[in-house]
Amino acid sequence: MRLTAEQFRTLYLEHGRRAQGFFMRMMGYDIQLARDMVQDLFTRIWEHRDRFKADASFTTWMFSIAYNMCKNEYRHREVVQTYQEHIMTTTTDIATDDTLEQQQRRQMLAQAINALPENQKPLFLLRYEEELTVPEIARITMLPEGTIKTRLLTALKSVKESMDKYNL
Amino acid sequence: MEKDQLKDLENESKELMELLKATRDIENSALDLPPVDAITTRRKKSYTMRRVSAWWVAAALFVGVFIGNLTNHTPKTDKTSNYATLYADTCRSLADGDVNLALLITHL
Repeated sequence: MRLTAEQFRTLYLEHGRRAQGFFMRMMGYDIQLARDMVQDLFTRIWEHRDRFKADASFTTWMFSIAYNMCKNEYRHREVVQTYQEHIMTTTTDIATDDTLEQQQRRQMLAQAINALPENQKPLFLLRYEEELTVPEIARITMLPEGTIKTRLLTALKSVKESMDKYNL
Repeated sequence: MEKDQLKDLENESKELMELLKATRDIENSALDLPPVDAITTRRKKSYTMRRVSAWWVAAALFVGVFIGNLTNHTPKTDKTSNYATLYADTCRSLADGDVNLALLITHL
């Protein structure tokens, strides 16, 4: 099945922001990079619209491409190094309606997630922020489900401990 | 084993899960999504550029080889005024797969 322009537009409006948010968190809150990457992601989807299967999940397909883009981007740059400067400005800018405590909680959470190792972070974001199931994540990352569960367990413990440490 | 442990920990972390989802929603809603037209038209432009460039390179090579066949084949590196011959020699080298980048840069 070939995606029509109208179908593509609908999918973009429905999933674009979600993918952009995923990129932003994966890339240490670099908003401009996330914007470029979401544009690149949907350009690829548009170019490969013939490969779209109506019975398959668009979300899984989209995140498969997004996940591989992140892996490539990680190879080319030190995301962690640029993290601090972005996280402080981005989370503060976004949190205009929040109380100071809520802002602080979110900043701590973002820091705890960003501190996760490279092999745990995308799994954590896909599971707990994008709310995908373990079998879906296995299809996206091509990793065995057992490996995903082990890494998720370690990652969740680590984030939980960071948050407990600050009583947030 | 891991699945049970993971399930247990997820159940114990309800508050954290709520915070994660709330943070995601706030952050995503603040994002500025690029316009969809920028995506559907971007490919066409780049494809057109690539196609035009490829045609121009092919045409230039063809002209160079054609001129080269009408002129002396010996490179005249000491006579830089004879650009047509130098250009033709370079194109012929490229067409033959015998690429001398230094020579090419010097000529260009």
